[in-house]
Amino acid sequence: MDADTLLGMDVIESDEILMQRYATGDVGAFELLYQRHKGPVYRYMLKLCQNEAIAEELFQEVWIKLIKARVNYVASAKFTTYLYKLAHNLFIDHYRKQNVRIVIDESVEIDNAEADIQNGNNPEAQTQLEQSIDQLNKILDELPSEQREVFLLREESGMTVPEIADTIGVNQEAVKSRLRYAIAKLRKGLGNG
Amino acid sequence: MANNDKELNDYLKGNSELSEQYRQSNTMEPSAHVDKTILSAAREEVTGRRYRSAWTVPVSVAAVVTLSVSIVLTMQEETGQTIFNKPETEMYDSAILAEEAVLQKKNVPEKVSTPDKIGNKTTKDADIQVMAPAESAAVEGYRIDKNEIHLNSEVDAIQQESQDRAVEFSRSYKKNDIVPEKKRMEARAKRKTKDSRQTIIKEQQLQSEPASSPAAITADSEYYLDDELNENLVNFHQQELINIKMLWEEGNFTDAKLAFDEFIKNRTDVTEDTMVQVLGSDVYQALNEM
Repeated sequence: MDADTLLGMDVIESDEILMQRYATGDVGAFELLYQRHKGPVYRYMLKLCQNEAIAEELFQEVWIKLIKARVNYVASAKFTTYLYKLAHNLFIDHYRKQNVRIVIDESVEIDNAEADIQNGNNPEAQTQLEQSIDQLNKILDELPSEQREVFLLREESGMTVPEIADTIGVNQEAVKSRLRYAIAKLRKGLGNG
Repeated sequence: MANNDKELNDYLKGNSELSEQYRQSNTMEPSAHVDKTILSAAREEVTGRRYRSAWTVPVSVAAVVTLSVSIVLTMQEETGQTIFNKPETEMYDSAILAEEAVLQKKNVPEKVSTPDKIGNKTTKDADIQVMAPAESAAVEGYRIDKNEIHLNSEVDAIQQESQDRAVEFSRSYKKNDIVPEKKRMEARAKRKTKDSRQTIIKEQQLQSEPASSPAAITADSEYYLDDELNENLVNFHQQELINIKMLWEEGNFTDAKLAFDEFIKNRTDVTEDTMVQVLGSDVYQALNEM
């Protein structure tokens, strides 16, 4: 059961209407919004940051910013685009402030790749494993962050290419290109390519 | 490239195996603590209350405690005493309040060194007994202290007057001009009916016990029953003997003997015991044997 059913609502209100209701003081509308989007936004942050503590911190900041901006919210764009744009900008800010931490994370990735080679876990061998889910996450983590982000936005928020382009501030062709590379690598890694 | 475009279009249609696998493997959600924090912030934003993080309350409590302890320690350091430990002050305040209440109730004048005030002493003691032990003890000590101060000042005045007269007597004696003073004192003595010996003894007791007990208060009050003439006469006799003793102790034995003989000749009402008490038995005996 989703949040709307729990509250006995027959008609699912759009995110934009819920946000406008919250702007007028309806806390219940915000709770509905939060229940709808907390999982996708959290996973988006977690996959981007690859660090649970940082992901939680940024996730909390996203929602606090949304709460503070409730009065100024104008439903001129899709709410999902607005929400993920907040998340994207916070991640970029964090990335710029935490260069050292990103370098450490990259070194961890390199170490993991070397360990995989030693254990014989190359992408071709993984096609034989039933737990392809873990392999998917592993390959996803090894994608360049730009390719990983467009894939996550597509999977978690269900955005279209133009919406993704609007959210991260690039043109649609760039989004398509990143998405194309990401899908190819993931399929190859899972033995589907 | 054309193959990649086909893959992309298939993927964007939303039914790809890749999307299915991803959704099955990723179901993580934020912790309940984060949910609670965010929902509380949303609620407080609407109700007008300020958003507080999880550390706001503990940090505030710690700050208040630290500040309070610092203030207390600083005050103790500046005043040089323990703020929470002042039983002496409290007892003193209680004693004063109790004393004032009793005095107001009984309408008793503040001084207790007059016969009338001593007459009320039993009533005052009864009032004190009704009080708590600590309060009554404090009141008793407070009252005795006041009496002691008063009696000491009286004794000092008497001693000063006696010393002045002794100096005058000594000068008159050396100039053989003692008779007028002597006759004047004898005339006063004739008007005195009370036994001077008893008065001298009481005065000596008063000097040896400087009003530090209720008994001293009683003696003091009886002492004040004597009139001024008797007091002066007693002081004069005593001071004459003291002066004789001083001459003896200074080595002026001849002068001491002459003064002693004169004193014996003219002060027939002064008993031998009185002279022995003032002069001392050895000096008295030596003067008699010269």
